[in-house]
Amino acid sequence: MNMEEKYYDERQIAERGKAFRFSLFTILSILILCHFISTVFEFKEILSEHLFLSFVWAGISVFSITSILKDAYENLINGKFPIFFMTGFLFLGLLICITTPIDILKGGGILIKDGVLIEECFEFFNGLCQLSIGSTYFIHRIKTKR
Amino acid sequence: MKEKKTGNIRLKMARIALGLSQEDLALMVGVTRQTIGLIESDDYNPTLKLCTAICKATGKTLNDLFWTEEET
Repeated sequence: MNMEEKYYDERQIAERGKAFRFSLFTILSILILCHFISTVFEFKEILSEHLFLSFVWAGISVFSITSILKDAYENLINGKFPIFFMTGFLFLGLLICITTPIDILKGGGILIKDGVLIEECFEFFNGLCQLSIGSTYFIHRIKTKR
Repeated sequence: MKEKKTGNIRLKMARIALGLSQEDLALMVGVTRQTIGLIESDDYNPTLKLCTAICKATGKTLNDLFWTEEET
């Protein structure tokens, strides 16, 4: 058996495909939802440039979480290198999720003006995505290694 | 009607009879341990290619491991 055959796992490839489909569906759903809010409620600020980054993070987090839970990547759980990435995600996510509400609270009641609230909300959402990737990874790793 | 999952007990028995762990069988057929676990618990439907690889590794036939009789 050669190396290429050894690392070919049909289930993992199918799970990656599913994860990719879920992430694409999530991105499209958010896009439709934001345009709906923008049009129906005339809340144009929601379509800020920060929305694009949130799309990316939403897609990444859905893809990552689905892949982690379904063991779609062999080295993710057994390898040592992903731990550093995931620890980074966890701490960065935690940092953003803690500091962003503090920033919002400091800003007082005029946050919607000039799209500040939108920016902060998207930043919080991105932090939440990172936090969920990191926490899912470590919880799944602990469960698998048990 | 939802079918009750009983798991692929024949595969599990064949593997245990050979003294193989899920990890060992997984390495022999070139998949991950989780995939073997999911096949044994009937949570994953393998392709014919993987079925034949498992049969070769365990020395059994497709009928022995994967054929299911219709319930009457």
